[in-house]
Amino acid sequence: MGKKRTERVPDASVVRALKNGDPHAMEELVRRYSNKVYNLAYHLTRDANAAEEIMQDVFLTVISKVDTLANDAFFSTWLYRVTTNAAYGFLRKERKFGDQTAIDEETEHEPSADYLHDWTKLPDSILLSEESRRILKESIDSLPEAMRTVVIMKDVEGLSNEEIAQALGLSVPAVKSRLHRGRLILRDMLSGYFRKYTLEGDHPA
Amino acid sequence: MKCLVCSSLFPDYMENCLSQDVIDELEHHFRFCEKCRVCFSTYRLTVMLSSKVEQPAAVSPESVERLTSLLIQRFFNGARGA
Ligand SMILES: [Zn+2]
Repeated sequence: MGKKRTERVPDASVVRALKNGDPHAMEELVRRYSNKVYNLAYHLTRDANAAEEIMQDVFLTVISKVDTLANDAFFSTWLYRVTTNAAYGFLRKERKFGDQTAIDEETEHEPSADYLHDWTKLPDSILLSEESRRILKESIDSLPEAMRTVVIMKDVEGLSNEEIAQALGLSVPAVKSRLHRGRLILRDMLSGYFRKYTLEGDHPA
Repeated sequence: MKCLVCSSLFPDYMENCLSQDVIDELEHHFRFCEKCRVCFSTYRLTVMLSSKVEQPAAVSPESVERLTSLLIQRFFNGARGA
């Protein structure tokens, strides 16, 4: 594989070339995935230095162990798994984001009293304001780790349920359930925050 | 359809992976249940806002170059392909 554009070559072929010792294949994988690995690590850790370090470790790990990858098509999910594990390791060490108690899969989410409060008609200037983004970010970070990771991978990074399931060693239904409950909690937090604006609208001066 | 069932279908409804008869039932429920209607529209908007909460962080070309050199050194004895 030369210097020409190789975007269309499937990962599996690039990985096979890497296994055969082609340095261009390695460079191509770095080109394809360094940003994704960095973003995922950065959004999970919220630490740019840690994200760079994790990115480096992840590539060192996967390239040194690439021969152990049985199915070449699973390269990206493997990469995401190594990345999330490294990010978890960092978070444990730093004790970031508070209590990481395991979540009870059976607990039903109690809808908050705000359920009839429709804030979707608020203008973008409020919905997308600096403050509302900060509130949402803080809300995501306050989720139990198992939900937080899934919400970041799915709704922030745009990975598929299948990719997340494989990366985290979960079933797809388990991913969906964590995602759904995480989103419901975030929705309630946003409902609470936006209430001050909808109240203004309900009772014009 | 019960409200609890309705709410549990939100993720699949958003991803368009419900069968048509379930979609019909769900949308029928929405017409008569304001609570679920509001729940869904705020849920969907929450997901949309989450997708915009982070600026995509671009890794600098320098660190990609550093990483590539490190990997080349470590695994290819410093020799880049022609
Ligand atoms: Zn309902």
